[in-house]
Amino acid sequence: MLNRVKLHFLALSVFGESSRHLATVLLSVLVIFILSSVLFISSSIKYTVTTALENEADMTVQRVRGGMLAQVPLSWEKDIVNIRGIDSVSPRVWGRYFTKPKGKSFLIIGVDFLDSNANKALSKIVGSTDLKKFLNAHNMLVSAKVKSWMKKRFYTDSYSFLSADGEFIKMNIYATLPKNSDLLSNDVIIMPIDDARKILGIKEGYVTDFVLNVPNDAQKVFIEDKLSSLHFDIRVVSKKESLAAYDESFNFRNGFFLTLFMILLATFSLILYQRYTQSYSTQKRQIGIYRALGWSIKDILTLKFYEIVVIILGSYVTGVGLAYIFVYIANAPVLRDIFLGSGNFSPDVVLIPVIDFSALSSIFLLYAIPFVASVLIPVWKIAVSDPKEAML
Amino acid sequence: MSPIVEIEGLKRFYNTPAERVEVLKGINLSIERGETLILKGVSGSGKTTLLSIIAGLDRPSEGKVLVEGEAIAKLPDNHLSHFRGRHIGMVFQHYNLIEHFSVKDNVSVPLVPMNLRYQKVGQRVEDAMKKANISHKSDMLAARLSGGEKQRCTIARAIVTNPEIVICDEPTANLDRENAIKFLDILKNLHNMGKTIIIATHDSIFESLNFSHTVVYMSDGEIEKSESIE
Ligand SMILES: Nc1ncnc2c1ncn2[C@@H]1O[C@H](COP(=O)(O)OP(=O)(O)O)[C@@H](O)[C@H]1O
Ligand SMILES: [Mg+2]
Repeated sequence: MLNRVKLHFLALSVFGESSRHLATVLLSVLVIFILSSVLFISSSIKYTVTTALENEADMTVQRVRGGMLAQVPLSWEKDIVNIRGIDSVSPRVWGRYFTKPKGKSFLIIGVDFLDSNANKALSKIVGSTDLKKFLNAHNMLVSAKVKSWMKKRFYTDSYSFLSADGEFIKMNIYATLPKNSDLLSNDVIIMPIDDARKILGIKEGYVTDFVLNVPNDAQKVFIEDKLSSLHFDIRVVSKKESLAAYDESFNFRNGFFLTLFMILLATFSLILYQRYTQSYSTQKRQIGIYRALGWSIKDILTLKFYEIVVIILGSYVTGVGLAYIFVYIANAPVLRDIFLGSGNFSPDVVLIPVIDFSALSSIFLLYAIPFVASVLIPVWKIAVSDPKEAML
Repeated sequence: MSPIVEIEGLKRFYNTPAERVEVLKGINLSIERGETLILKGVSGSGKTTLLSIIAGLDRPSEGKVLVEGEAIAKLPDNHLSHFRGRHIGMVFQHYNLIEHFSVKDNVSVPLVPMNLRYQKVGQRVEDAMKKANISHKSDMLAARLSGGEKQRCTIARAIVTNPEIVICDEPTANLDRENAIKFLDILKNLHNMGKTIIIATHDSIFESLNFSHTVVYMSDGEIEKSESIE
């Protein structure tokens, strides 16, 4: 193993020859930084989206008229409730409100004061805010991002929405929703159901959709069929489907990035290989000298191996560390836009630190193996030949 | 006492694509412990090849080579390296220093595989640098040394393991006259320490060597004659 003499020598070989290693280290750090950043962003987004979806209801019931989503009559509720195995059906009034002339859009969610379920969820979000007081006037809760957007346009304590009937409805900004890293609720505005109806143009007796839960997994397919046959214009979306849709889009991206990884790694190995074969004669001479001075092949391979280990670990830790800082502390400027698109409020999402150890270790292996091979194989080839070189 | 180096019927061929080159054509040589031997001969006469074989850096094609009674050509790598590290010190024509290491780190290279304590290594390096008269440059990078200083650094490195045999290949080829004379002084010290010294050279300066030594004349892979000088 390494005693103090060998450690000293190892340090000399790695840092004394920093000019030879510098380019390699910089290149390695860069490659690992890019790979880890991409990995960090994608695992963070994936985690956020899947947990958000997991918290959603099992099924959503919509209405399709002429191929388009249409408002759902409240009267459907009793038909739905009648199906056995269905739990907690709640009607929702919500819709996307597009600002004029163009640009951002908000997700308006109407809340029914009488709906105890919704109230519970809401008081969880709002916390100390007095619900009754909130719901009795034209008040709304906005996300931090929406609030800052409004503030920029000088809507500091209220905002006037142009309703479906063409009249302006002025809503007071009652409070800001707690800062949430949830990707899906970044552009949310919560308001009393009647105001939401007016703005979105949802008639009395109609809602946007129903959500419901099916506690027994085994019944899900059956219930979905049952629901679908209730009305000719009913449309049922299960959580499984939306998860699959998200997964698909992620798999697509992952496939894309996997290709990127491969190209990056192939280039990297090639550059490394070239670097180390270009220095072949220098290496050959140095190894010849060591052997002439009483080093065995094993001594030389051991030194070179530790040298590489130090370089690999050093660059890996640096690259991953920089990526962590870049993604989770600096919130990944530029790269985030590539992933999330620069539309609406999504780029302002806070990326929650999620560390995918298996992916990190595969990056390590994909990086370390070609590195070790491209360095140790030429060294070994030199070391086993007779060391007469030093004499010439 | 038996000779420290015994060579009988040593041949060395190289197979080039065109032909088989016979570089050493049957060398018989015996070197006594404490002897200083000067191998003379024109360039290409096979001196370096002979030294490489004695040092175990190259292998004979035919014949017997015993160093310290050991048939070194037959040793496996780890034993041969071990043997070389302990018994043979090398001084190369082109110094072969590691340019980005300091003098003292260069001198310590042969000690690294030996699993010695750090302090012990420091001591031995100090000692060798003193004997080779290079202590005053111990922290200077090898790249910054003058030719004579590089030479002395190489000598310190060659003797740091306290070997019985010191092998020098064209040691004065890259030195000016003044430094070459200094080198002869160091050789005398080594001789007085009882080292066996083998030098390949075609430099006439060795004619002014003022202690007893043997001169062996080589020509075209053969030993022509040898004479003892008192
Ligand atoms: N690996 C080799 N392959 C072919 N010929 C070689 C090889 N090494 C040395 N020689 C030849 O052996 C001869 C003797 O070389 P060398 O021992 O270096 O002589 P010297 O040191 O006396 O100048 C030279 O002609 C050289 O070209
Ligand atoms: Mg020569």
